[in-house]
Amino acid sequence: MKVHEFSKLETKLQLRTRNSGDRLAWFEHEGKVITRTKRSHGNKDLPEHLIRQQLKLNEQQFSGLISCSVTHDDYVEILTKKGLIVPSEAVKPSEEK
Amino acid sequence: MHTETCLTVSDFKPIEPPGMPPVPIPSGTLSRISSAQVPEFVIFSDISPDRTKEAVDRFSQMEERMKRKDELLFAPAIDARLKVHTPFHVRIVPSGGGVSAHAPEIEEFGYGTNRGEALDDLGKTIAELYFSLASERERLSPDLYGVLKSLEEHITRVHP
Repeated sequence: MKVHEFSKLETKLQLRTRNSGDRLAWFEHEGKVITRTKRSHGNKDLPEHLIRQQLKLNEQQFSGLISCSVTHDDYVEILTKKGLIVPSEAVKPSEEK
Repeated sequence: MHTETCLTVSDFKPIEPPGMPPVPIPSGTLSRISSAQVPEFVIFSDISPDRTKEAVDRFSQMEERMKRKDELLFAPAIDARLKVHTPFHVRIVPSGGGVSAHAPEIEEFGYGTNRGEALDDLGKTIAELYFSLASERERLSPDLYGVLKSLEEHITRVHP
């Protein structure tokens, strides 16, 4: 995986990033921190399968994310189906009690 | 014409790689053929097939451990404020033209052009991850909260 592809992920998923020893990236949804990943600085090839695992995607979904067939909303839906994002409607009733 | 020399097994010390437990050899008599022609096989007439299998199994286990040299326990000095009291299980794998040090339990990795760089990067990443997750504890998804709990099973904060 190339650095420019990682940058594409950052933009598409609107990842919150911070430069440290590495470039750390966090995916947030409705105020919750859901997934995280990172890349090293420089132009080295990146370990794609490990970044993919951190973003909780299978190979097909991950290549779709890079190639544009998977959108930000699709990613939210994937994480929701996996139970990593709890829909706000499901949270509201217990919060109202 | 072959002549036979009888030797007791206790006369010999088994050759073992350093750090390996010795393979037990049953007591008994070892028959060796002395001849101008070197035999291809030495027959241990008193060793039962079961004991031979046991020795072969031990050798296979040793081979397996040698293959797994790219798996290690990792307890680095990652930050002056943190102490790793329980090591992380880490796999070293070639990836992306370099080397990754992967800690599956916390789904984290370090990356570099060689093993040392990858482990160094992993240590720094673990420290970063710990502080980041701890500071956002209230906002974490259940999955990331689980990662934080796993980290806390390995790491103690020694200075605030």
